[in-house]
Amino acid sequence: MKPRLVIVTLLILTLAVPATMLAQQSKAEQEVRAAIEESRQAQLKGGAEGAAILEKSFADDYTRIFTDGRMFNKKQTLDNFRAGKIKYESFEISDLRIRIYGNTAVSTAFAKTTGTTYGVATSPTGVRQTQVLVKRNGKWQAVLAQTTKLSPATTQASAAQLRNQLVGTYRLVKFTRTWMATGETEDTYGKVPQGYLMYSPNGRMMVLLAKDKRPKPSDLEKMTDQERADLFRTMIAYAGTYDFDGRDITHHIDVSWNENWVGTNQIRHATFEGQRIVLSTDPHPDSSNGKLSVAILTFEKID
Amino acid sequence: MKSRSMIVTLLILALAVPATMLAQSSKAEKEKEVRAVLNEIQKAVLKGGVEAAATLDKYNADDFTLIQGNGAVQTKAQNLEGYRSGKTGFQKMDLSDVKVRVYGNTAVVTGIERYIGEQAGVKSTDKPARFTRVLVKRDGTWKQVLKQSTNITQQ
Repeated sequence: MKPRLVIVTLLILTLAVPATMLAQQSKAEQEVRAAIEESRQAQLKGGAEGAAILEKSFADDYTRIFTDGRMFNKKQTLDNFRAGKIKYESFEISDLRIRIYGNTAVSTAFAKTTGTTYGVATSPTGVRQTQVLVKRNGKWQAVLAQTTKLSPATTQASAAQLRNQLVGTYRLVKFTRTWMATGETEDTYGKVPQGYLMYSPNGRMMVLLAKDKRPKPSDLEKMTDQERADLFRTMIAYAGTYDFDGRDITHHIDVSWNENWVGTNQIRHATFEGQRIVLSTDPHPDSSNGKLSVAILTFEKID
Repeated sequence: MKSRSMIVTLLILALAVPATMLAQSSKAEKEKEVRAVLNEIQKAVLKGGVEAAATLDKYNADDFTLIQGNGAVQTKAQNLEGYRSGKTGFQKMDLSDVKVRVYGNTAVVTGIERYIGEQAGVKSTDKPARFTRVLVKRDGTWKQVLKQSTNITQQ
């Protein structure tokens, strides 16, 4: 083997090993995520039908520590679902974090439910929910679930804490659109888009985005309607309030460059990369051709 | 049954039985180790201050998450800082009804706790709470990766 080849091979091996480990890790994480989702849907379904699914989701030594501190085993929990003593009308999970330790997984999440449990309405402020899952015979099963109610002070403090991660002024550095059908990506607002995004500590936000090389009308007084339309088409601007749950930012819009967005909630998925924040949309039909695409906006924090 | 297959069966049985026993005894051994760690933590918490922080630094994993009875979440660093600064301190920490379940290198501990003291501005007044502690054994040491408390308001 030639030395260069040896080096290349070694390099590939060093790179490949952590990648494999990472892939395995994420595979286990995906399995756990799927198990948690299946369990959530079964709990929402409830009754005998839900209990039949949960029978398999829960290990035989399953323990449930309920929000009031009572502890139930698997049989008691399933009986409670069957008898309609645990009945959810909605069951939402956010801020789901999964940690894998070999054949054990520890998941923490924020859960918000409506419904009744043991004749009492569920906590309107939501609960911190932990689940421990163990993989046996190729299947992840829950061995423990615990919920803790958030006190009003904790709810306020954690909302403020999450907001603090976002607070600041950001400059737009990239704005792309990826078409779902083809996977092709294009610059939505040219190579050098302009724009700023601001999040205030008290929960207000404002954004202004503009395409590069916009047409510049020679005279403000004598602007044609075509020029006005071209300028409108190459910008986005709105303001309102915002919420952040650690993963998704919801913009509640109260004033917008396009009246169509006033009163709507625009949800952006947020990821942090150093001083940068990347906001992405869910796939949505494009206003010009109806095709599904995802918009991805990269901002850099400037203060 | 032919004699050869009998011998093979006996051999398999002879090997399998001690292996099962070994697995069981190691489970009991692990439970003992976990209970010993809980004792260490309890002693340190009652000492408080930098001594508590040093012991918790040893027995809490870097990704340790604490979910307090009011639903507030603390990281390992925040938890240790509480002890070092004196914002967190307890005069009483009682554990009862402690159950340890071992799954390989993970232990799930449940029980009832009563604290008197203060943690990050929240006072504990001897009221019972149901707790879970999850410990993972890595490089021969058990470390806590999660602790959660739920106040008992219904018996």
